[in-house]
Amino acid sequence: MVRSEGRRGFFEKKPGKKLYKRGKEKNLLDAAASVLLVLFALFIVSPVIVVAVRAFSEGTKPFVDFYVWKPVYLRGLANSLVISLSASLGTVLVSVLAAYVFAKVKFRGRSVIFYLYIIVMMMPFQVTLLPQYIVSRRFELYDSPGAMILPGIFVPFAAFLLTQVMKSVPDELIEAARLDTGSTLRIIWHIIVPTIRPGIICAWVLSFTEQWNAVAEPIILMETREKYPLAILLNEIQPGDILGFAATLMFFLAPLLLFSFFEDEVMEGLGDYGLK
Amino acid sequence: MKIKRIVTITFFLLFLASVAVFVFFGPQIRAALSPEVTYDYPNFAEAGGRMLNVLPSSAVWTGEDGGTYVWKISRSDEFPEPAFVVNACPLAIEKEKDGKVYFGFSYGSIDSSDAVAVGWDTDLKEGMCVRPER
Amino acid sequence: MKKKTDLLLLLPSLAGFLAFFIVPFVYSFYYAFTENAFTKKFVWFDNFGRLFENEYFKLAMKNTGEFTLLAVPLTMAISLALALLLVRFARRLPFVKSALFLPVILPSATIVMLWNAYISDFVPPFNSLLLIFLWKYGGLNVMLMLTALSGMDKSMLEAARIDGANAFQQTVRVTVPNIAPTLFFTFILSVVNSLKIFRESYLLYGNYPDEGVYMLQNFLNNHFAKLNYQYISTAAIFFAVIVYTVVAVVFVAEKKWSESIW
Repeated sequence: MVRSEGRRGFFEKKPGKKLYKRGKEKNLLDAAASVLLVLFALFIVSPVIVVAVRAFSEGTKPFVDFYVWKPVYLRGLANSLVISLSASLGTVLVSVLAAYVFAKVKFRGRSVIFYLYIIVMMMPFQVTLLPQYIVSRRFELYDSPGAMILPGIFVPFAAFLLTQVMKSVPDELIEAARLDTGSTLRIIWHIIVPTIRPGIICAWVLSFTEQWNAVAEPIILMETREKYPLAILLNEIQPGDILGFAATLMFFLAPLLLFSFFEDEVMEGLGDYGLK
Repeated sequence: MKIKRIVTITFFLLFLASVAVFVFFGPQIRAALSPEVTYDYPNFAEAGGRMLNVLPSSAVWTGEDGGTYVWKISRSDEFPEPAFVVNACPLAIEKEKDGKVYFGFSYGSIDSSDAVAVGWDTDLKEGMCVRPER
Repeated sequence: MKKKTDLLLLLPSLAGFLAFFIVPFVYSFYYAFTENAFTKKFVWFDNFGRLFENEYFKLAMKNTGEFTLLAVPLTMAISLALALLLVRFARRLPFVKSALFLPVILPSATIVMLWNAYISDFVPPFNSLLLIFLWKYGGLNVMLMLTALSGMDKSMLEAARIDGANAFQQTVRVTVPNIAPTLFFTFILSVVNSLKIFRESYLLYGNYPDEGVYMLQNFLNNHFAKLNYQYISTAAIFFAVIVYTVVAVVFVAEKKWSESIW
């Protein structure tokens, strides 16, 4: 570990940082911090490792079972994918439009509606669960993927995040674009979306993950086992059930890969999220 | 493009592809992996005034514990498509003659409505999927 | 010149939002204030009264409150301490930030199963939930605070150091107020998340958990199974009001605090 200044450009960016501690204390604290970091990282990551180890503890046979011979979990995975992808893509689509209005279009009652979005976003899902159950019955959506997808599309989270992100788009840019074309939709598609790309991706990944892990909603809103998303099916596996471990591995592989791939965007988006 | 991005996007697409392939082509894959098995139903025969079931000797095999078994073929509802599995079923042979075995009716054993495997190429295991042919 | 037709863009989101969230919630008011599904008699606050007398409800409220009051400060304190210690490393190890986020995306079912398999015999229920909460959201908090810490203006720290402040004073008097907005935000987020612990609780203990862990959501769920719409709606509205109040209070407090500092 090199600490001399200038060697990596690490200290160039934050000139104030090296003044935080001086002299011998620096090494001791650094060592302590390193140890702590490693411990904490292990603490965080341990479940993943345990699952992976157990899943492979019987070789590849459980995975063959997972795909071919016992496709129960595979079906669950497919259901989860369908539901989560549809809901997350849908919500991004709808919310980008809404965010544009919230961020750039002034109208009476804008704040009120926006605060309404925030409030609903903060409510624990039980508050909305009964209403959603009623709605799903009313619209004949009960026990169909639609019961999960449709509300998922209109969850206010993405709209909120995208609004925050969109506020940072300079108005002049939009005005300039408006001179080229009067159509707002084209402005959104060609100018705004590329500018906000990281935020949009962040919103999509987070919405996908939220939908992927949802447990309570499917229990209430669905009935037949074949349609269950994997999140629920995994509840029932036992520690000795290696197939279950394999399924669990596959299960968290999806959001993990997604998140890994889009790591930078998500970090950036979360930064905007905090600028509430 | 950074290496990490390429790697993770590849894995993710593989992931999606694997799910899609095995969901849509699962039945075909399972069928291809299931050994073909010839089957038949037990016949009736009269011997010494009693009614006995008859099966070809090829259907009978000896288990590790020394007992005699046949493979009973039954439908499985574990899969979205119709499928068949084999289960080992004990058999109490009364007599063997001319390449056929004769056995009586007993609870828990084969009766005339059960399909039994009479010929197979690869080793069969308990609970394995098969493709029955006449 | 913004065209008025732009408002139409809000329509899809708003329409769905209303249809799937607002209208149903308003509809549940109807349930909360009437007697039952058959007589449809308007009974004012009778249902609320009955709710507050219900032993289970009181237990649920107590447990939920206890959990939040314990979990949130504990997690925030630990996260803050860790963030302060780790701020120097944040740049060097880019994996760190992602790794911290990992528990959030790991499905609850997984951690619950592992917990059951290896640890649950040793740790009592309430503490189990506390630890799981810490594991799950601690990383997220640390990450948020790290972001805020690295974005902070270091010259103030330098000025304080020159003035003779030691490390501890530097931290408390300069660093903390600077990242106060993030702290508030993290606080609100943690409160909201502390209610989500129900997911893990349900997976671990089912519908009828021990006394110490029977939380508000259990109450809601169980009555849901009985289709006792009145109780559910009443409790849900009560719950919503509380959450909203807490958030609003914290929000307002934060505004006042920031104004008084600057």
